[in-house]
Amino acid sequence: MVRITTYDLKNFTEHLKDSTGLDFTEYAQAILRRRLEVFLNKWNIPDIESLLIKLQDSPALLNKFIEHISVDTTEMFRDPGFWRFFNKTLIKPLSKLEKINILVPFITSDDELYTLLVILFENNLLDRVKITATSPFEINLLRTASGLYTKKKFEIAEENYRRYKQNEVAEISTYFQIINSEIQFSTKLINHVKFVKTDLVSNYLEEEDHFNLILFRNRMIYFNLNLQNKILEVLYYHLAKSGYLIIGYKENISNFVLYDKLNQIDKNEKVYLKKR
Amino acid sequence: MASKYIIIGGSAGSFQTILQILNNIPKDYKHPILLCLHRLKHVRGGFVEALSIKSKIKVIEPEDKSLITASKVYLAPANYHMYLEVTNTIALSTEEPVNHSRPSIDITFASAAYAFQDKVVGIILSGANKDGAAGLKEIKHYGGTVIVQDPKEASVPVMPNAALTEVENPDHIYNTEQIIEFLNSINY
Repeated sequence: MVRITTYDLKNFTEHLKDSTGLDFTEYAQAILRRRLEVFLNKWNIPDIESLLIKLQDSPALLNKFIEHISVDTTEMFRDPGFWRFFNKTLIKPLSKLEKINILVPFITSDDELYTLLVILFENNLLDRVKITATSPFEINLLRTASGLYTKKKFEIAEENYRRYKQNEVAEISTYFQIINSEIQFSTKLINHVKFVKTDLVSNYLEEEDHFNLILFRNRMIYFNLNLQNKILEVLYYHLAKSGYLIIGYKENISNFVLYDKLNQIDKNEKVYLKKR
Repeated sequence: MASKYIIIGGSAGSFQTILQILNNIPKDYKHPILLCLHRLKHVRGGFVEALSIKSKIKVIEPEDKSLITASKVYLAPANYHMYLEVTNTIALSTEEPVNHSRPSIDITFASAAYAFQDKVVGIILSGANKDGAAGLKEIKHYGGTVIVQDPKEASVPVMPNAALTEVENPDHIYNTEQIIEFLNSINY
């Protein structure tokens, strides 16, 4: 089994940044270390020096690596209680807007985006919605745009969706199709999304873009505090007045410098309203 | 930084043992205790309260990047993995389940092993799968202390037995009473 030290990790992320432009230097260390160790073991690569060489030589391996490191592991309707809250509390104020501008930053596969699309569709809001989904990695954008989905994740989505719907009869399968024996999320819904390649920090969104909703659950946990704060500053700037910022219920942004300009609207959910 | 980190992993059949341990550790215990227990994925609340009934020490479910301090019990939240960081903080993740589990005991054990090395005391209790065994091996590798609940006492001995197969020379094989005695003996 390959074991990686903090020194290895620092060395690796800096070299990777120099040679490929991929920046993982400010990712949460313990998680990044484990993901690297798992990747090395899975591909039978003896150490990080060899990995660096292989990544520079093989674009295919580099894509596998990015997908592995950027953690495609959420589920559709993860935490069904949250989505019930979302449907019950946030849809109403959003539906009063003439145009609803939504940002989903740092997507991976991305189940949060698909979940959001289902709920907006079920509330007849898709025609008024403009959704921007971003990622620093092309491969994640392509995969999300393709809608391709694994059977295992589909089964989890089915179960979560039933929990979300509680007593109603509900089948998530109506939002999927099977094409050449592959499961695919509805492209009709995905067509409402604009995919933008950006890490938000070094290359920006359109300056005039202001969002009524930013859905950002369980992504910051993969970054260190420094990067978190840089991203939060950008998101805060792009949050419209009275817009909502949503983070995971186990995430904490109370150290963010502009925290007092946000109002947490519920004691159990980390949903913040930008003060006027 | 604490002088020891007590990390306890458990699954099916471990709840009563945990309650007994928490009931017999003083309120001002000198080390942090981190619990990684297999639990229902969709139930956010209730577990902290259930543990708090018997516990003298404060039990909390940490948020991401919380500081780890002595005299507190940190319970891994439902549907998140719980890592320990060298910066003496908690890191939560939504990565894929490990050993069909999220939280996975292996992840908590292995990250603690790397971050705090010989300061780690890893304890594995009753359970029905092999989660925790590989993590205990990491604790041993980095010089920590490995304690396995006596399979004869564990209501579901699969997990302690898996640990004994994986770790060649665990430091102790203890029953609940001996675990409590050990934890109190290092309370300085």
